Amino acid sequence: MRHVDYQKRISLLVDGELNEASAGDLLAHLTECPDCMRVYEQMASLNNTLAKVTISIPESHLAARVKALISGEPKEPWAGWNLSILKQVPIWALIAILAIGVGDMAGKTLTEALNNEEAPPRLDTLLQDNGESLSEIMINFGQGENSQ
Amino acid sequence: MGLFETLSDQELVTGSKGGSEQYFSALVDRHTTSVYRVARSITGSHEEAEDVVQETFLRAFKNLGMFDESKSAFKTWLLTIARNQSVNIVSSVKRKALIFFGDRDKGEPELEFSSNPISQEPQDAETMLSIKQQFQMMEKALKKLPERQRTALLLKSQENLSYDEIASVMDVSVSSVESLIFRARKKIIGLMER
Ligand SMILES: [Zn+2]
Repeated sequence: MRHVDYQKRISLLVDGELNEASAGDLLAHLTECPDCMRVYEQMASLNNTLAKVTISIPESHLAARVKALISGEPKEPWAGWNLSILKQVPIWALIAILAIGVGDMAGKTLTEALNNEEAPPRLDTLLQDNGESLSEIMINFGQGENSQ
Repeated sequence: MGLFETLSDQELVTGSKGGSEQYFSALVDRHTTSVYRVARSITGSHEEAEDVVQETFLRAFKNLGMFDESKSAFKTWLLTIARNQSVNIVSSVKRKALIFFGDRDKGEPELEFSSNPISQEPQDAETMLSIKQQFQMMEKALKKLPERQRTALLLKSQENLSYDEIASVMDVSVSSVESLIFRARKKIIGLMER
């Protein structure tokens, strides 16, 4: 095995993602290869630093803002709706509202239009939908991002 | 220690699904920093990271009924939303326009560092200072990594997610995660040796 392959395993080892047999092989190699041993020490030290220190934020302040935001938010789309209001509105006004509103609802289901929300995220569908409009996709198209 | 701190994420999710906002608030307290760190790592902006934190929890709260605990841990689900939100912001037309007109990163606050709550061992003040100095150097190197390498490495080293969970958050294969993290480490070591 090449040194670089051992070094890939070192990265797995420091993350606790290497199986026992491969770990045994690797440790045997480390005892006789100073170069890989050095990489092991560097990766372990890097991990140690990243695990112990982190950026800090005014957490309570931000968390408090999030909680305030949520407490004003109905979970069910209909929860915030008081349907009795409809009884107090004259029928001609309802017709007028519907006539104006319909233009805005093209291509939407009733729930989408009322909820004014994108489809809820599910782990398996979320990732395919990055929420871009067609024009954004066209602009981004060809701009290779995240070259590794 | 209050009641909520002793409950697992899953218990808090169950309580939240039962309609109690207090349970969800405990999840907000527990995960705000992680969501912020992921968002900040991707967007590179304090202000945008704060927006992502708010939007992520709001979406999670509204769509908690869609969360399936048999498929992933709550934190993995939450960080998936956070990463998608962050990537959307970075690739948005509005942001590109702001960068073009130079209206971004004005008054960006300096990063503050503190000990990571996931680290179990207590550190004496002197050790902590030297680790912080090392981290500040590392932070500069981290900024030079491609976003996906940086995010994968931080999800591992700072959030302690497994490779499986990182693959799920980033929508890539486990072998891609291995490779992203390995290349991130090699690059940081290379940059810090200069
Ligand atoms: Zn070697």
